[in-house]
Amino acid sequence: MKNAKIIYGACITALLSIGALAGCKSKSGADKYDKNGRLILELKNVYFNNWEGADTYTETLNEMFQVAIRPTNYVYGNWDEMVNVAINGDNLTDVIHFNLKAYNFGSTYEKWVDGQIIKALPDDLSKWPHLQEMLSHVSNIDRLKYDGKLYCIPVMSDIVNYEKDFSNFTYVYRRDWAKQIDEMPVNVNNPNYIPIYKEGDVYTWEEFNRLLAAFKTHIKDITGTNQSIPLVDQPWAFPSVTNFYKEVPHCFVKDSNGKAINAFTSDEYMAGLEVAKNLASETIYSPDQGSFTEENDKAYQAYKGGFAGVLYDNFSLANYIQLREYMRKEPKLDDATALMKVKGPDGKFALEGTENWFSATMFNYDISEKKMNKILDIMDYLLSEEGTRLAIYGKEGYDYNIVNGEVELTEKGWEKGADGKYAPKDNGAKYLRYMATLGNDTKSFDPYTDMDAYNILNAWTEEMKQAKKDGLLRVVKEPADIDWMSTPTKNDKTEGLLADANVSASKYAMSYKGFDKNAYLDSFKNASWERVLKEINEKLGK
Amino acid sequence: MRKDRLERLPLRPRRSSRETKIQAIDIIICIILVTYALLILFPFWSAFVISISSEEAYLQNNLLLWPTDLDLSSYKKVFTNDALWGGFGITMILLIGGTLYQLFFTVITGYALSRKNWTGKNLVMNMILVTMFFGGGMVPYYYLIRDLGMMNTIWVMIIPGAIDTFNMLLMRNYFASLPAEMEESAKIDGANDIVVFVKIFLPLSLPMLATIGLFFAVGNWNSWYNAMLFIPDKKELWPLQMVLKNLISKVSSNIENPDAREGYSEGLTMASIFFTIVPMMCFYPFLQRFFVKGIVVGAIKG
Amino acid sequence: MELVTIAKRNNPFKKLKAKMWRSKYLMLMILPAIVFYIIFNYIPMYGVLMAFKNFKPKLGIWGSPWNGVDNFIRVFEEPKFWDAFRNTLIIGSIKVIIGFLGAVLVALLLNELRMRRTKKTIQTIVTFPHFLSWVVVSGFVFSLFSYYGAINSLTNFMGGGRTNYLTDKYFFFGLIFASDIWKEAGWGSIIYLATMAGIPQDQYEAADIDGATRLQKIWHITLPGIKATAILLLIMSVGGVLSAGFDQILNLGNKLVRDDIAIIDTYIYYHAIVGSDSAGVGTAIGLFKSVIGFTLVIVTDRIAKACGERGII
Repeated sequence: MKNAKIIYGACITALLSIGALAGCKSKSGADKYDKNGRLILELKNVYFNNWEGADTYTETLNEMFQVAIRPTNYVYGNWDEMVNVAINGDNLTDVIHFNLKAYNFGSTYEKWVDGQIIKALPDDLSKWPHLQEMLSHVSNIDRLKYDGKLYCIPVMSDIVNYEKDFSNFTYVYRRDWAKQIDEMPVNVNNPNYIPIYKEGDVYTWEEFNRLLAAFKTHIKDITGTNQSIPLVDQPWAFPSVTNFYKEVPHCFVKDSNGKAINAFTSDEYMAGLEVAKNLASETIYSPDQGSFTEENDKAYQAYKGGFAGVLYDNFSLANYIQLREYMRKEPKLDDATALMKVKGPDGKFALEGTENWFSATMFNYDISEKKMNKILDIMDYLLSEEGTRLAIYGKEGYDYNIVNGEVELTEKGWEKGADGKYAPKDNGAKYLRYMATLGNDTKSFDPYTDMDAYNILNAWTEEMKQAKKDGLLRVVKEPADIDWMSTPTKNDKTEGLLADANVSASKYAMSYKGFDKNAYLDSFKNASWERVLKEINEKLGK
Repeated sequence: MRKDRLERLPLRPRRSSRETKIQAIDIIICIILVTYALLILFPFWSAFVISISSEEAYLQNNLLLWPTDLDLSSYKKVFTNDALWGGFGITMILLIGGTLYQLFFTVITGYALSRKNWTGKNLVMNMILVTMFFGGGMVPYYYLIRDLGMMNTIWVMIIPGAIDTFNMLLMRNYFASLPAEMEESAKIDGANDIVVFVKIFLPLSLPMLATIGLFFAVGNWNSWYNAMLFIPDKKELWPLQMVLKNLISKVSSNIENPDAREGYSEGLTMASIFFTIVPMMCFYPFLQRFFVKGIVVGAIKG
Repeated sequence: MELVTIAKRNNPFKKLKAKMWRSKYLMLMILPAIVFYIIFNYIPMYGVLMAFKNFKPKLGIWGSPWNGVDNFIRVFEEPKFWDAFRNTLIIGSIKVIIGFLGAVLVALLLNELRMRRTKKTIQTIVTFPHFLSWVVVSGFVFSLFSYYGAINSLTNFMGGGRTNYLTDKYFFFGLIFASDIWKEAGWGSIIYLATMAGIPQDQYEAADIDGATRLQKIWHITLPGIKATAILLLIMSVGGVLSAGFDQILNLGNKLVRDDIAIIDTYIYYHAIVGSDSAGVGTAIGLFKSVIGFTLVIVTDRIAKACGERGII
């Protein structure tokens, strides 16, 4: 029996050492060629959804650059997770794509640069003029550089109108309902009644609240459903009304002395939170707003189901078009999806600030210079006028012709479906272009764009830009020196602190059982918060 | 004779026939159980109603007890989706090939471990038990799969599943519960262990094989996690559940997306759920006795 | 025993060789398993080293620098981890207990039901949810219990108003256990039902002659009859206490209740897989959990053996 134990121990030890020795490595990223001798490029991007790389436009690029493009995609739902898995497993594709943000760059990008996971771009980008031009407009680009080297290509939202520094996180509302309420006999006959609908969709804080109250009373009369939700937020944005009070969207704000403090316990934020709490207790927010998750998608369902009056979401063009698709059954589509412009108690519009880019394309550390150059060649080409035409229209002579300097689509290349819209076709060039830009510069001439939605959204953007010039728009944004600061605890903890803080705020606003103001404040009294703030203030010299 | 023993494991008690008079208490028990069964069925029914109702009907009325506005477009979408049928094909491969493969290795291991006193049996047994508690975590496992060259191949969904420890132990317990005399007499006649296993034990254990096979089959039918981790880049190799997950995954909309995606609907989710559970529902009543028999024999005798 | 010892002393090596040769076919049958467990379970086991390392993907597990118990300190100084640990124990043990009670109750009721057809049908229905995934079940739960869901519509219709089940922590705990019962009680009852069927009939007949009521028969014959099985199964389920149901918690949860129902596995998921904690921290928690789980099983096993029951190891 004793022998058995010794043998047993010996065996386990032996097995473990075999295991340890087996940790051998295989290299990803090495140059490989397909049977035609073209360099294989493995490109992975979250937007390469439904694209296999087998279309004729990809083939054009393959021939042009003597490469074999192999696209794969991340699934939205576990994008970050899959990037982490590939990095931890040391099994990266040649090009990766990551949801880079100010609050996660320290725990990801910076570590990857340090750990030789991602490769720096060449110092001299003059070989790729379009790319160089684009990068020169990227906001806060210097914060992404280490020793003067850039390790990623931020994906710019719009390479032409790059000055826009606010997001499209805003409200749409049922303008048709507001008008209907004004026309109700009970209101028409009341001489003291002030109409709730405002021409131009601009609402002061007081008018906004009056509209919500009117929705609360009347939605049921209008729709006849048993549910009515005057205001609904996407779960990641709840409570959105704090926007009109708070100074920064995330964790850290400077007090009057320039010292960094916790934004979530600042007076401004607390004031906004109280407002949200009141709205929730008056059931302006749905009582179950707190149980909405991104998975169950209840916020959208409430709006498209026709019982929510105002919806807060990220109305990028694609999302706005999608909302309009959902609402197509409404007789007055524009009225059912009207963008709402709300002024806060200070009389100004408030929109969350943003960089002019979203996410970043990065290169595997192990790829050869040759491969990197090829990829940059392709990206540069796609940003050029000729490449853009390939991405948007297709091939000249087949998909389009140039007549008097104007692009004219051919019928052969652009077939129309039964609904009168152009039939969808895969264009690899268009997908590949997303590695550098989201392509908002091309939406105005892209045959696939829903021009109604584009024009509405564009008018909104112009109006907000004008408001900003006039000092009527408050951009809610973290001070860049704190936002992009790197300290050990901040790098590790910010993402978690932000997530926890959002949970606390939601709990307080929804009057979660046992979660009063003290419990809310207590949830921020912990070692991580203290340490982060201490480190930041040391670096700020406060 | 031994077969009799198995057959005699009664699933329902054989009460004396005297007790035939139905009492009030029987009615009460019946009512309780029927209510319980209805509680189990209700969510299925309500999901089914959602899947065949139009989206408006669902969104306007959450207490849908009866389809008010019949709309089969969700099912149409599910059944005309090529990727789903592709996933269905892969799942069938897993279901047949994978299950047989797993069954083979699990059963021979269980058998070897059920025989008495061969050298090193306890060592092997302990070695296996330890793995039920300790593992290296995901990163080294990922390295392993990568270095074995199984990334983005169908093998990653089959080969690592060769032996399921829990089912292997069930099998072992079952073999151990069979009387040893027959083995002894066969051995006296000169049969070796493999012959004894194939000729004597295997025929006796068919119901148990069916049970374990069904457990594997259900596992294979529902599997998607390995595909997500290890087949991220080859969509044509995704099994049904993974395709479904991708199809109905809803996206947090604070991600900027340049292309509008097809709208998701609750009906589509429910329809795809039914697409995966209906085959199970159809076969389950007929296969149930195998599940029952197997789990009982394996656990009680163990 | 004595003979073997003598033989061993005489010629231990030859004896062993002969014994091994006799069981050569069995060894052949076990060989694939040994290879399998070495490759897929033992080789990756060196990964536990990550718990003591500052893991750097490019350097691999072996090449990453050691950092002692830093990973553990980072976890243990996090109050939320201890909340998750406490929740795991609470949720896990309650689940074991009510899972056991539910299964026994269902088995008893089914056992007492004398209409055979009905019984068969009911058994088929109640065992089926075992095969559903938690994604599906949580979809069901949500459509039933949300604020405008079926249950609330019903209570509202009957004048009871609406309740926010999904964002009330007490109700939510109830939901966790209720959905677990819904899914598993029927399946769990199978084994008790079979054990009850194995109780000799003559005991009941003797009780009938003594004029025992049904309740008395249950109390004095049926329940003692399943005691051994019940204890065995309880011991077996102790190992699972620390895995209080990752899939269930993750799929059912929402923002408001997230902290109140966090368990170790969801903690690992949110912090080390999705979040920014390193893979080393995740491994450290996993190791901690394995050790506790292993200890729990050993301790229960010893207690059971001390009480005169059959152990499992």
